[in-house]
Amino acid sequence: MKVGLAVFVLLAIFTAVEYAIATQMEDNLIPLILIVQVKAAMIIWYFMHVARTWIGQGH
Amino acid sequence: MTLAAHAHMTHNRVAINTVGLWFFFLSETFLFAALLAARFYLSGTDRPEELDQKLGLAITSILLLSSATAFTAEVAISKGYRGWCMLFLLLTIVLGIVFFGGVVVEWSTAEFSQGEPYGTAFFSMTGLHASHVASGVVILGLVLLQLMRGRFSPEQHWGVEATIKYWHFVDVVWVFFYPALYLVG
Repeated sequence: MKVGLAVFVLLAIFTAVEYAIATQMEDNLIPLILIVQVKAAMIIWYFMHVARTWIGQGH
Repeated sequence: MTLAAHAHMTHNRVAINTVGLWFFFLSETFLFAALLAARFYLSGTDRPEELDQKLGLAITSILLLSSATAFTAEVAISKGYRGWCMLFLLLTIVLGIVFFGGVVVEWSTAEFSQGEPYGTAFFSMTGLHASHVASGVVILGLVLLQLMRGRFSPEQHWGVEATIKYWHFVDVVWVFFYPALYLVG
């Protein structure tokens, strides 16, 4: 449960950073791509438990 | 059949189902990736100034929060807290409906048309994604009904787990769509 909360807080922070980058920077494609990949990876790894499926980790 | 053999069979079936679900996600990824590519092909990194940024950020936050409530519901059922699972599933459904409502508002107030390159991409991407949100809400509702009828246990809750994985997948898609539609440029 603590991991879930930590991941949610990090995702919220990354979303705020995304928004700030978009409103402050003109050439924002590269930083946004990097943040998006980190956010997606966090959801897939922690929320969707991808490791449990493919490398057999437990709960 | 012995109890151990039955447990082994159940474990194998869930493992196979899970792999099948991931292949379903992979096939959906191709569909959404094609739309994402089309957005940049049609209008580059341009976006209209009149986009409602606050609404975009609000619905993104709501979907993000719904992923957290869905995760909590899954943890709850795996530990046997049926009541908490139902509560957090209900919260997830409500947040999903609010997100869908936000998209409806965005569609009805958008100051660009579907005839423009950006508009074509915007309405296609948000439309397809919102239809996935709507189907996710319906499936979450069905799972909630089954929970209320006493189905699922800490040992056997594949239906809850699969539905919540689908919900997270819908969130992952929006993680890519939100900056592509609202922020880039």
